[in-house]
Amino acid sequence: MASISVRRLSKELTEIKSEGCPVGITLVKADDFSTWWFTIEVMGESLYQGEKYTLQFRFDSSYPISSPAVQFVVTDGHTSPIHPHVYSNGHICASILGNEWSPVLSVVAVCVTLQSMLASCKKKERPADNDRYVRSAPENPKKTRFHYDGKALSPIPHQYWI
Amino acid sequence: MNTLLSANVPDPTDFPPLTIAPGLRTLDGSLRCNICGELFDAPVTLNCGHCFCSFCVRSSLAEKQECPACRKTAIEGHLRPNPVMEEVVSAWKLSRPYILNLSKADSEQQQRDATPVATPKAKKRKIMAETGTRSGASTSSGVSAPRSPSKSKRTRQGSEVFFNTIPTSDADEDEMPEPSNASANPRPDDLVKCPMCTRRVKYKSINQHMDQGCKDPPLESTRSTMSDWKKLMAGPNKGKQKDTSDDEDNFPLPKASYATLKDRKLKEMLTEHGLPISGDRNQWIHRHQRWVMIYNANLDRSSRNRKTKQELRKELKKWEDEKAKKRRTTVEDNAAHEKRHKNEFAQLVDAARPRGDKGAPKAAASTAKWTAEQSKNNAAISLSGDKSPRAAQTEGNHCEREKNAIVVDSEEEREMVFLQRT
Repeated sequence: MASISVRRLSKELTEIKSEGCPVGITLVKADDFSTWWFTIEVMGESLYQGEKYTLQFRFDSSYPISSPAVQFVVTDGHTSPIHPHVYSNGHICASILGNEWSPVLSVVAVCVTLQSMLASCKKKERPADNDRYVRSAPENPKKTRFHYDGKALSPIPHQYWI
Repeated sequence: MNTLLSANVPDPTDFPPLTIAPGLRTLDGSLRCNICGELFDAPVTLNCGHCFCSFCVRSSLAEKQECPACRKTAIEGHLRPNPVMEEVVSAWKLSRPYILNLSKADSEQQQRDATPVATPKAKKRKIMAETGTRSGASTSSGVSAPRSPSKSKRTRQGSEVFFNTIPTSDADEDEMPEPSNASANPRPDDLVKCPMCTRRVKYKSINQHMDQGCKDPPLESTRSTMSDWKKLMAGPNKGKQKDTSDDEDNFPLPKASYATLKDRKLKEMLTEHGLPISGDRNQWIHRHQRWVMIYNANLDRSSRNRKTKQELRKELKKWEDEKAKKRRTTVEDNAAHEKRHKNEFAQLVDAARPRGDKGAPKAAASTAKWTAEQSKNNAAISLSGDKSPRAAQTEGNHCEREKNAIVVDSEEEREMVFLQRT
């Protein structure tokens, strides 16, 4: 029997295949159970209208108990959206990817949350400490201990420790 | 991508969507744990009412003490087994393949119905197949093919009559499994189920039996006397064995505060449950933590579904083996590895420096003495800077090792390897 993480991921993949992703989210590749790519696009009126971004999910063997490592892809011509919670290296400061992660969340649920994070953005700007963070950021965003302010869905990543 | 899905992992989408089979997907989905996506295994309920597999929610609570679904505070002590859900799940496990087959046959039937059939012979066979496979529900709703009216009407009427008889006798069927007598009144000597105690009693004496409050000995068939005696004779012995094992097996293991435990105590705790004491302290702790989780989750199963300790040990071993396999990464290209982790290495060097400074004078003194002795016997060895011969020698050793691939178990070990090398 395959491990819990593999079984759970294959269930999620089956569901994506048979029921499709929510509007604006498409599966780009899922060749194995360690890395998946999605594109997300904000539907309706928003600052990011017509822009498409690529998200990378990386899973370890303790998924879904531990969160996946999620970031925007910034290589090969992909860019990360300009957003107060998204660093230019693609790292995202969102509490559900860190200490607010819950094992009942799924890949699609994370995509939808990030989509709504972009949709609700009022002003396109980088986080205030972008340069400082990007210079010394670890490769895996899960290794950054972001400090989240406010409610679960409105993190302000202005303080962090590495 | 499709090769990934070929693995047989059942999930709600095995069933046809809402439009075709309303409720089936939802039913299958709601009998599954939201953490692992499997049908509930040892279901437990939290204070908030949400239900998960015992093991899943225990591992989740170990990370964070809240309900995974609604984030209400929760601790392991709040977990209550949900035996009703367990019953439902085991019944669903049994009926799932059957219902899957039915729905498959049904959709195939509908496809066949949709395609017009040319010959009357085929039509007849189709109708017969229909009455055979579908148990009367929604008879041929989608049939649009032309057919001879009189014939089809007769067959359909016949099938309806046949199926209509079944529901009327359905209520009796539970009490009297004999299908031949299903509709007729039972004869005086037939055994019937007592509606109060559900024991099988002769029909002629059922009233007397109930009047006495179901206290008279059950009049099962005569062949059962033998087995009854056997049960009686074997009873106490068997019960005793079970009692002793149950007493100690029914209590969940307490959580240990590992930091305060001595190595010896930790080892004792492992051997007590027949677990290996291989590896280091860290591994012992992880092993014991995992064991407590597996063990306690097993107790949340109803007693007949419980696994033996032997099985649990196997589970634990499998988990450890898998973990060990994943952790072990071989560094093939040393240069690239060094480059990639340059920052981490630099940090570690910085962290290690203060200690090095303190030890330096002493080391320098000893090397100086050593070189002095050496120089007496041999030709003078010139010391350039702080590079003592001993340092050079050890360096040489490390160069030797560098040629071999370094096996790195974990990040801490990688740090260790680097510290050794600097």
